[in-house]
Amino acid sequence: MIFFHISVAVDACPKCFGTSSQQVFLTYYFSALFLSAIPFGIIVSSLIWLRLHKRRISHSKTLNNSSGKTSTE
Amino acid sequence: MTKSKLEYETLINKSLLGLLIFLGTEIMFFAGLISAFFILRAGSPSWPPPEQPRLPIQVTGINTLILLFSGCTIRQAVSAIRQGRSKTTTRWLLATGSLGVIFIGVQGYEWVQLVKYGLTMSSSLYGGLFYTLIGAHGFHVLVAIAVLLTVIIKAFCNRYTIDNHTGVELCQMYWYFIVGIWPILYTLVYLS
Repeated sequence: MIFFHISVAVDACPKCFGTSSQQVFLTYYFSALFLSAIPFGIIVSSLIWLRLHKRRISHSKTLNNSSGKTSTE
Repeated sequence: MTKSKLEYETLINKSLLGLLIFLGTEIMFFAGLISAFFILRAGSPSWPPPEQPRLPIQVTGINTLILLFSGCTIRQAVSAIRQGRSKTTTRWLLATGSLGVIFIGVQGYEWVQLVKYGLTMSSSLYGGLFYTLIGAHGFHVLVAIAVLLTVIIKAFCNRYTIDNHTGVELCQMYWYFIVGIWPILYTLVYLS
């Protein structure tokens, strides 16, 4: 309640919001969207990579078990 | 009453998982720098500024191809060690390191020339952004070369085998990261 009644104006960085340029506003919003989307992209890519990694390991284990492969050099 | 031991299969090596997490933070770092680049560029009346020296697009384009080719050579190195060919692995790793050194050498030479022509960190916003973005990548390349050198020494001593070559794969992942991020930076900074 105290914080609700103490109304303080919070200004964002004047570099983006102190200008009247529409281009800067748009760039700011798209960059914010880009930065918000990056972590999800990282997580999805990591999951896909883990799946492929597991598949490759399973495949190589199957090959090793069937042929008894060892180091050649 | 006998105790039964619960057996489980590890999905991923701890080192690989740690590197994945680290690469995630690095991607966020570069994403922040790229976002700052876009916003600051949008606020400039003209880009690049007319009084600043122009960047060497052609030379850096060839340098980009060299770095991309190094991604292929390290892939060959990992393929070779997965087949147990450790000497071939060492040769491919040496090729990768050589290409990396050429890349960073050309970048360093370019920087010296640009400073001579007046493009410095403090000369303008353009210069500051250029050196911050490209310098951050250059630092990562230097670290990758140092890591690669360690891997080469271990490979030369036959420390990696068909069953134990995590170090080579870790090096490959980090190398892919620095190779993958460069074309984005080249397009944004040099070509735009």
